[in-house]
Amino acid sequence: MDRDTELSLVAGLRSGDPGAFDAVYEAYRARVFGFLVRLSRSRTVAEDLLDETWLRLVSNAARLHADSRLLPWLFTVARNLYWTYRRSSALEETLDPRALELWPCRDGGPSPFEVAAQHELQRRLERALVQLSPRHREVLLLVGVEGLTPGEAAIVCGLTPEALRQLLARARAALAQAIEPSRDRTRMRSGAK
Amino acid sequence: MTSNEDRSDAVLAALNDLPVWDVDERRAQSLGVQCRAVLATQKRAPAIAAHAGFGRWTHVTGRALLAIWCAVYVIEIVRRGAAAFGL
Repeated sequence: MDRDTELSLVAGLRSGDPGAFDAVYEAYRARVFGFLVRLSRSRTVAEDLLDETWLRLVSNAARLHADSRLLPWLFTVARNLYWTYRRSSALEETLDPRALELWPCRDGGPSPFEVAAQHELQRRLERALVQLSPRHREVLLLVGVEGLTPGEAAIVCGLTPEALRQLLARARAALAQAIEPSRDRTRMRSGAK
Repeated sequence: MTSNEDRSDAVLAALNDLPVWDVDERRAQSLGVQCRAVLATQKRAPAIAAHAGFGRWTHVTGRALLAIWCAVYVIEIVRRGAAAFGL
């Protein structure tokens, strides 16, 4: 979405135009949901947080700044809702081994993981993302998957650009390591002999 | 750039090709309807607030005028009473 279109949609939202909402909703719903489902690793949680995110947008539509960036705004709300949820539910950061097999499917069709299985790298990426810490995961999702600039991601995460850059570097390293565990383990075993 | 950085850059680029996920259509429609209803409520809110503001203003003004009239009335009673006693 180009900037002029975005600005006109922001103006539409501010004036309560349902057409503007529909356009924003269609453009960004899946991206926000994808971010939430990968961050929370739960379709149920992601659906609830998605509802709340969009309701926050329409409830605050009149108070949006005229030059608001909609996608970072939505990701900021979604991210904050996720961390609030995590704190309130005292969610344990443990990986349920069934999480990958139980991953939600869409419209009764093949699950995203089944689709991703067609591509080995994608499958390994999804598995590696699940294993990362939430902090690493969210920065990779924002920059790598959603294509936000590091500056935008820093605003979403409430970090300085420098802190975000360092976090992103650590997250990239962690992902690269997680994606090739078998090779690392083989190397470790051969080193131990 | 080291080979590790090369590898992580490739991994980061590959993230961009991950499949897009979405909620099922029924849920998406339901949420859309809910949001449009909230948006319509928000659109009406300024008009309601303006109307409520006007009502509040007339209410305050009315009370102020009544208070002034009462004060003038009491002062006049006191003044006439004082005049009757030659004060």
